[in-house]
Amino acid sequence: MLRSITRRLKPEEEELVRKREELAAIRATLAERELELVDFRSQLAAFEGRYLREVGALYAELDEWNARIAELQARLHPSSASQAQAEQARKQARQTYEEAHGEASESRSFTPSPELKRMYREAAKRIHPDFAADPADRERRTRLMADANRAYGAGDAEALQRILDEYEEGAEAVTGEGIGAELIRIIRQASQAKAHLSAIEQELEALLQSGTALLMKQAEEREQMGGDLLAELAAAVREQIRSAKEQYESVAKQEANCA
Amino acid sequence: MTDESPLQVRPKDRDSALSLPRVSSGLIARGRRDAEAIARRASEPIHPLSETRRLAEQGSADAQNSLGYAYLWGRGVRVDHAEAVKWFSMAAEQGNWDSRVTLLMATELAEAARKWYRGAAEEGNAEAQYILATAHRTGSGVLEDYAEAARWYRRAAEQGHAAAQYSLGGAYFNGEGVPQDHVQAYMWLILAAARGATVLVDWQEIAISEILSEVAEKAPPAQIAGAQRLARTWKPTHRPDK
Repeated sequence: MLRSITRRLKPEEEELVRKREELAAIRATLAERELELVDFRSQLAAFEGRYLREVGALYAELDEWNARIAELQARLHPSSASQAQAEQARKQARQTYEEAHGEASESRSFTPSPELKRMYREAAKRIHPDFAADPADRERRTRLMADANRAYGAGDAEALQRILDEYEEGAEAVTGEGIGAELIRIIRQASQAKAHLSAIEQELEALLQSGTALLMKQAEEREQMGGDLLAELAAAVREQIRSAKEQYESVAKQEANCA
Repeated sequence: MTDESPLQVRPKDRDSALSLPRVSSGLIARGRRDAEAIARRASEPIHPLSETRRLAEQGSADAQNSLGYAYLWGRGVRVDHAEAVKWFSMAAEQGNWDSRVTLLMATELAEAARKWYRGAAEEGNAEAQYILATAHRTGSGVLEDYAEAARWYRRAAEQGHAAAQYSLGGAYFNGEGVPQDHVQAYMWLILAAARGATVLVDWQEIAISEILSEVAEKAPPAQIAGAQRLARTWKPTHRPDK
């Protein structure tokens, strides 16, 4: 490196320096976008978890009452139509229950510390499989990156540090076979990284268009208006549950009177 | 989480590597629909009823639906189920989903209720006879028909149903569905009062005996005396004529 300062660079060396800088910039951007993606994903999962716990569970209760009403109606006025309606309502109730109380409802909110973010960014920059020198290296980076994702998701800074350390000891010592080979390697890495960047953009775009993201956006807009969407939704569904219960009781009374 | 790093998966495959749960898509869509309704309601200026009516008359299905609810629950207007049905029907014709569901549910329930009350009334259930009679007198869910109302009031009243006796008295007093006959009217009032029954007048519970004494003050004494004679010999029939 010292030599490069003290003497004029050859054109191909100048190109190499430029390409290295370019690659470093792409690495930094890629790491940043990966971090954004992973954060957005866990933010969505956390919001969805909260929604399912606070509102979804109520929808499940509502559908349960609706199913009971339909079943009671089918007993009171037996016909193939009322039977089918009751079956449909029961199916819906079961489905809603499964959705509302499934694995997704367990996601909790995730607030990574700035330090954890910094470490993840560092890991993504250094370990990213797009910058592998050869297939074996790529495989190793892929494994490490998966570990890093897991560690970040779990908020485990120590594990993330261990991954960074392990990588440090490894093969950073990839030496080129002359400037030409080095140039080609860098150009290839940069173009892979660019393709990857656009893939991340696409994924972020797709996530933004997902129902969960749109619902989260609605909640944010409502919050700006001073409302609490999830609480309001819960109240609206509770109201529906209340009237479904009333309806159930009045139909039940009819049945009791008929009996 | 998958073991595979989502970092190196291509866009299409990335989707499946997402930790985002896909199962709840149905519930999410439902929440979004309800959330939109909440946001709409929150951003809407609160229309006074006259504004809603103006919009409804101009053909806005949403306004027609709102006006239907206003009449159904008596918000800003007197409860009027016929008006409610009219506005719900107009909105439903325009494809308003909410109105369609409300109408369908109301129709199905009303149909079930009519069937049950008619059956029970025919079998001699005095309470069902009384309710069916009142439905006919007010035209709630059935044809407004004073004669039919009086017929069912009588069957309940003859079984000793105090509220029906009071109502039948009212029918005789006003000549609604029966020829006007004040002696008959006082007789049924005397019978109802004797059972210690109360009625709701302007949301206040009033003993029928109290109403009777007010009426008796203004009535010719001969009529009251005649009614008292009839009342003394009256006996409830537990098996009404079929």
